[in-house]
Amino acid sequence: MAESRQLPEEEDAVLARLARLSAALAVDPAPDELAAVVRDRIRTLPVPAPRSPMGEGVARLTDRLRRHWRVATAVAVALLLGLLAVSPAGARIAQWLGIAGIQIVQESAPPESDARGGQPDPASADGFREIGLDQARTLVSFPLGLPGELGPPTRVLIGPGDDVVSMVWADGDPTNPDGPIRLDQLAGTPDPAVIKKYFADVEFAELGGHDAYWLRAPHPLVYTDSSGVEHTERSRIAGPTLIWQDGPVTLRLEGVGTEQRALQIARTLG
Amino acid sequence: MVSRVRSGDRAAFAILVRRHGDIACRTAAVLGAGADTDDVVQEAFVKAFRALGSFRTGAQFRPWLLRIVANETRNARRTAGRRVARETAGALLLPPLSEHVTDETVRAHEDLELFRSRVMDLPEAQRLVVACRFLLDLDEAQTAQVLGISRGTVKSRTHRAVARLRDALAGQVHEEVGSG
Repeated sequence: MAESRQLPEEEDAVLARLARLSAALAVDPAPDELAAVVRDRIRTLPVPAPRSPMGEGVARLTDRLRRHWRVATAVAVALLLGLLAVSPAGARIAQWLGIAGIQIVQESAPPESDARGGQPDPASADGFREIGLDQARTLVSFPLGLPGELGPPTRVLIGPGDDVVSMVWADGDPTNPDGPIRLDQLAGTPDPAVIKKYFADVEFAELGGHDAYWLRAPHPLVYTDSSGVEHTERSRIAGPTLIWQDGPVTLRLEGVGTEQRALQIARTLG
Repeated sequence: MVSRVRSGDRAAFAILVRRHGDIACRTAAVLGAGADTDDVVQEAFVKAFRALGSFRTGAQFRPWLLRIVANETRNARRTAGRRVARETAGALLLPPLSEHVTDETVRAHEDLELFRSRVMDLPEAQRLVVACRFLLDLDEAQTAQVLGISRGTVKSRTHRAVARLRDALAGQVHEEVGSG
């Protein structure tokens, strides 16, 4: 036993205890019926289609880029500026360069509903359906946060593939009601890359030790669901947006007037 | 095996469940699923099946699966947090010590029980990293994948957690010397 050798460093005592703890914990093996129960539950589910070879290539590229995403972002922005200038395929290439979670592309003209106070119509998005909060929690593969500051949402919607959940507060911020607020949560990747046509529109902030991005202008959100299908979601709420990451989840908060207040709301996520 | 499932062989998925069921249960348990462990694991396997389309050919299946288990455990803990008293949930952040460990003296058992509570007292983020690294024997890269954080974060949290546990042990020795 490690202790009997009287190791000089107490850290070794810690590691030795961790090893003993690991061996001593009472953990039951998987119940015998687990495989049968799971088999029954997946019987009616569609067989998951493999990603295309092209998709795999893009995934590998984005994995690599994600690891060096600061550099990748700068490079991608530079590339994008160049490509957009010379090629109509530029937008498509920009999408490939987007790290799997999200991409931001400046819209050429703000959508009609962008006037402040315009009503959001999240249900009009492709494949989104209204759902209860508790049910949403059981469907998604990531922990769903709820910003305590805003209270219960007016509506909860879930996207195709159960990969994105949108919450809407129709009356907006209780401390300063000024148009609706929408929060999107999606199973993104640890580090979102931000591709901006107009880089000057992004402000960098910090939230829980991670980078957050504050955008003053509306923008469409491009994301990839778990089956590798790409979706584009247009902004439906006027005003600026905060984008950040919480563990495996990427979050987008739209419709809060100031960066400071958006960060404040984001910090109450629990 | 994954490609067999993707080509329509659902029975192959049952083999994956049997092969990885035990480690999935252990993962849920040491990450704090408590009494919900079996439910969490069942749910995680169903979600894993649904998400299999995004599994990258050639990648390791186990950490990919355990990440889903870890997320599902967090979900369950959030739900349980609303349901049961904090203290009850807190006592199950780690599974209890096995009754059947025979080569432990009473003293050593008490010492280990105290150490278990020290680990449970770690801040959540550090406790999860310690659980992955030392109770599940995952390496840094796997831990990063399972918890959805960077390797640098795994490294720094491991370091801080071990330092904190070392301080706790040192304090414990002083207490004993002082009282004895």
